[in-house]
Amino acid sequence: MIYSTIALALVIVYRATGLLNVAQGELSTMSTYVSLVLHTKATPALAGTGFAAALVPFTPWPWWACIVGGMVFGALLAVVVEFLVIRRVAARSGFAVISATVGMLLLLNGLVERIWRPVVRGVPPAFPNAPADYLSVGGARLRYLTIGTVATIAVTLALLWLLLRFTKLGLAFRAVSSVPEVSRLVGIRPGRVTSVGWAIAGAIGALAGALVAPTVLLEPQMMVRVLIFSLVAATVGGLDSLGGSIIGGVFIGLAQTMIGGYVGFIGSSLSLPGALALMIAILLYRPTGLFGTRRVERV
Amino acid sequence: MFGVERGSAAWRVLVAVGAVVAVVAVTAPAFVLDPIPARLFTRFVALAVVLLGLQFVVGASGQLSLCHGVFVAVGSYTAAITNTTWGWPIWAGLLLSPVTAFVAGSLVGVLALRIRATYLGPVTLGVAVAFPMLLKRFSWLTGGATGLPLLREMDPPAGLALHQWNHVVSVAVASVAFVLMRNLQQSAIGLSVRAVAENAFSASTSGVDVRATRVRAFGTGAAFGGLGGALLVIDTPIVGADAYDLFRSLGYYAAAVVGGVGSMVGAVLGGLLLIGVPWVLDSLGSRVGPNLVFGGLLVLSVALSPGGLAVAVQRIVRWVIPVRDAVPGRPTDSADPPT
Repeated sequence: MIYSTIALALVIVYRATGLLNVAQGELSTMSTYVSLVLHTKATPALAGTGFAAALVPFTPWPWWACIVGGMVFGALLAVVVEFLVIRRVAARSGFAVISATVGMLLLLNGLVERIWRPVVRGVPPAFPNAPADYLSVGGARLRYLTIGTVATIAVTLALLWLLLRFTKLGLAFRAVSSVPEVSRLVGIRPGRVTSVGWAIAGAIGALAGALVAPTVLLEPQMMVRVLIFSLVAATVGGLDSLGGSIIGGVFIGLAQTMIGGYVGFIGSSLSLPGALALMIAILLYRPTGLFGTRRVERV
Repeated sequence: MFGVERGSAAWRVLVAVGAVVAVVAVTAPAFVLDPIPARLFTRFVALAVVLLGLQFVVGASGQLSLCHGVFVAVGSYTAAITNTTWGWPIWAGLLLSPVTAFVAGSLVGVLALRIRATYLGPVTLGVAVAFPMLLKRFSWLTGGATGLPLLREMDPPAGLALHQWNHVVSVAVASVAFVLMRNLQQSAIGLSVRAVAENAFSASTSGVDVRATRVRAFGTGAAFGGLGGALLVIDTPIVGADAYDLFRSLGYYAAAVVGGVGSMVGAVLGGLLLIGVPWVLDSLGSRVGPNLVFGGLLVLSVALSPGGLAVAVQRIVRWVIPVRDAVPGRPTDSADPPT
């Protein structure tokens, strides 16, 4: 499900701007660090905590409030990145944009490593996760953490759908992503809409980072694996389909566990190459993903 | 009018003198400096060959490759496995490494045929992340995370230290690689590669096999990467799975773009950056990682100077020695800025 969330963030940016934000994972990592800084009392080990403590009189905030703080930070960071970097090079070529996002990936990764050191840090779970915290459904144990994560993602998705479907902003968003020129004529400001798209993606990415951090542990390299799986999910689902990204994420998560569990040769060590092979197979069959809009291209 | 006409006798002399000066300048450090700084130059030579391949894939053939480190790894492992496990001499591994890397590159190139544009980014990125895991899974062949040392190092001729001989061999191999790449780019094959990159449809109407050209271009770039990888192992005689992670591939990409894709000068400049940036950071005692610097440089380069540093260098050279194009219609020099 986590893959779905990041995949969703990728798809939103892709829909708004037609570009694939490779740096999305690093945006999430950084936001998660910010959440942790907001949460932890001033300790010399974690850079920035002193500053956060001075800034926020009531630290430690409850963890959910810190996650919201991280989401706000993620949204701001994404908007700044888009405004300062991506917008400058967007007109040039696809290569320039991809290069710029790769550059941002390296830059943010280096920055996180510089600020918070390449050390693994524990992050509190977002939902109760003591050994007894589970619901028994037909003999299977559903942990509160899992239920909470799934519910959070479902709510996020529903809110997003409502936003895109029933608000003026959503209408503008869809207009800009299909025909930017014409939407400018009818009085929409494409730049502003793009910023909003990035902000939403940044916030969702931050949420996903905070949700995934307790299980994979927070470190500067945290999101590399998650990003790849999410890219696979987004690609399998079709880059321009929101629903597709969710289904793709669930599908990849299931495929990863099942293939890893049942095909002994692959095992857990090869789950990522396995998922990747799956993505390539699907792309070879359907070049724009399972739910993506078909394009006609001749070579 | 003052200036040198491209292709004239004077131009040829200048190019030859320039090449000799460059080779001497690159060879000299091994005999002047202490072993440790001198070996930085050996790595630089190898990395220039690595980037020579990447600039060809990205620049000339216009295909995105975020997994160049994989082909470098294939080359390194070819050299290490043939040498240590099979007992071949090093030069045999050096000859074989471009071949294996070409095969690996062609495989990815075939995928790239069907998966175009935006989707190629995630696919090559995924290949870069997945490859080290494969290396670890098949540890009976690759030595896994512990790695594989290079057991049979070269015998330097009398009077030369090992690192000096390694360096001389690397420079010689790299020189051959650069001449090959130059000829390749100016040949009919190189022309068709660029034609496909510019406009695949019109290239196909001129009788260019678009698919074969793209795959071959990807494979060729990978072959140079593999050769560079083998050179890297000669200098640092051990290979390990963890050394070939995603950030290595991305670092190569950043260096190639900042140096200037589509330009052989760019490959040299990128190699200098790959060696120079960590060295400068180290000697400044800075805690900033090279990733931060490369990311920043890449963003700046994309925003300010799409042709990379190579364009700036070229401008300076042309300002000192103006070069005129001789006859219109001739294929221009490979070092022209990419479009």
